[in-house]
Amino acid sequence: MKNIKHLIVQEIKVLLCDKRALGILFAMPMILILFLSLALTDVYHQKVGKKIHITMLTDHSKTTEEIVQQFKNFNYHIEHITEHQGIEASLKKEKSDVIIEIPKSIKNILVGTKSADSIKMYFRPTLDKSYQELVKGHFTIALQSMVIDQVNRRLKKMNESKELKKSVVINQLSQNKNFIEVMTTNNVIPNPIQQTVPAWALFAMFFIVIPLSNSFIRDRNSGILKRLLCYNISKAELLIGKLIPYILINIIQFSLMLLVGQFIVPLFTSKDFSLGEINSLLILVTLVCSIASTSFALLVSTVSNSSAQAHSFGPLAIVIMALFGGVMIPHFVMPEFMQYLSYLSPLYWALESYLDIFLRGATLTIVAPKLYVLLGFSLVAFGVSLKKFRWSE
Amino acid sequence: MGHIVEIDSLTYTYPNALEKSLDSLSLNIKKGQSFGLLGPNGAGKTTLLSFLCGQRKDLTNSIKLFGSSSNELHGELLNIGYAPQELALFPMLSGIENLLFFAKLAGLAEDKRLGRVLEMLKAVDLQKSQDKLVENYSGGMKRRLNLAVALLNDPKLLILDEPTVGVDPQSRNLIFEKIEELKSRGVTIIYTTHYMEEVQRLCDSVAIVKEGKILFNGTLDSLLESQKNESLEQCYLQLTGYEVVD
Repeated sequence: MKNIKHLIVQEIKVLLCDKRALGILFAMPMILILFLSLALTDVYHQKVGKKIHITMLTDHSKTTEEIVQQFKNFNYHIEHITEHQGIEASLKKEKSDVIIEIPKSIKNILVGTKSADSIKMYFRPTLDKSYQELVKGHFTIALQSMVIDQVNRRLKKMNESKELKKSVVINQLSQNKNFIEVMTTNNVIPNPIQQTVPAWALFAMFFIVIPLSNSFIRDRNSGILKRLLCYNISKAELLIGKLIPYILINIIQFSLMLLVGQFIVPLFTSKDFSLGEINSLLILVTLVCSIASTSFALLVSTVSNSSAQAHSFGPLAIVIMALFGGVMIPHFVMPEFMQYLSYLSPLYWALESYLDIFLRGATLTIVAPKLYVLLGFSLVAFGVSLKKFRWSE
Repeated sequence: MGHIVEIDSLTYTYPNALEKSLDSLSLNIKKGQSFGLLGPNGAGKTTLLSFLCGQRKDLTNSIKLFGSSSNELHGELLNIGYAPQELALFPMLSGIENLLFFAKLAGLAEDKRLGRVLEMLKAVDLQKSQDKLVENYSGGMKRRLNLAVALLNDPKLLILDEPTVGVDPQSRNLIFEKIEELKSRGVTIIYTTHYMEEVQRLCDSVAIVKEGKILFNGTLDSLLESQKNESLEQCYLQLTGYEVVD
């Protein structure tokens, strides 16, 4: 135990010597979280967007004005023009996402009495299919609403002359556009900040592989590990002595990143990231995740012959684990087989543990199985590190 | 006089290597002896020394140190001082910080630790540079500090693996003087080098190793006599061959 204490103190001393590297170690993940959160703010934003630019090419007849007015209820950015040169060019230049051309004979289509040209919709080729379907659907509703309004007006006149009372029903339906209420379930889908902050914070935590492998391989190549042999230090003591300072760094890194998520990111976006109560469960999950990330770093350090090897293999492995683990693409949007593959990534279990706490208000009983998986991963990584440990090059 | 080091038919092959690094190597070193271990590059000298320091305890049934099998050694390891060929120091820490760290590992009592560290700094003439970062030390200063670390625990067995590589004459002389002083105090020394004049100055016995096998083991005088040659370098070349070893 005494040896471990000396090794930990020494490692911390060495780390503190390079203040610039230490600063980078803490600042870079914070910057990563800030920019990623800002960049990904709208990724899962519901697909009704003010940002879709729609150009409506129509005359200014009463009917078309009514259609445009109805369509504006869906909060699209709508430009109403009467003449347009080069529809395709406009779409390619991405001035408009959608161009809707309404023929002058629109009234005939709606009344269905005479033949007429159809309504034409042009979509920007890169516009997501789901957005295209959404615009089509909303436009159809706008047309129907306009027709209902017209019918209602007529019925109202008739009603005034005491001819029809049924119009009331249609009128009510027309007035009450929010008759469908969107309900939420317990399967909470995180907002972008709630997903990205823990996900990318974990991703950054696993990058502890770079400083740890640097330190480990430097000590091995410089003969320090070999010298430590003479002091009756076991491999396990030495590895634990290396591990603990980096676990501390990881915990500090994660705490700083969460603070950025909670206090700085909301300054730039409308989304909030609620850290919730800092309770013992959050501390426990952070500790276990740090143990998992540093054990992985230790494994990479012991199997690598050089820093160059560790620096290419380590980050690549993290990117793959992050890809499977739901960091880059959220687990809930992955295809089913990918969702099964994600169970192989420690990042998945770590991320789910955090989402349990932040979004689902989970208790230790719910999070514990995930923590067992992470501890199992750490034990295996530590065991292989012990097996692969070499005192010298 | 008892043997401090007893090696009996030690054979070792590195993982994935085709040839043996140590091949049925047997060697005894008496207490108080100053023993030169010579051999071309790749002869197995450093491998042998790392075994003596306790590396690969699982494979060292054929080594006895201080009368105990080396896989049973625990506290006895603290009687060994080892200065590896590499400069096994923390470059971003000062000389005194390096020594204090290794002094803690050597188990020196807290109240005696600083005193011993200062004593060692004085012994290798580094007291003026004790607060300087090791990365700013010259090659000779680093080598002297490397030796000071090995001497911290006042070892009974001192293992020096090419301690004068890249060292200026002044530092080399200081290292020699320190080793001679230790020799006079009865410390057993194992010394590897490629410089024959160092062996002639410091060692009374010598073993010449090539390809993991011992070609000669005896006193310096008997070596010179056996090869009918006055120069140690000629003896060495006659035994190990004149072809360049990579």
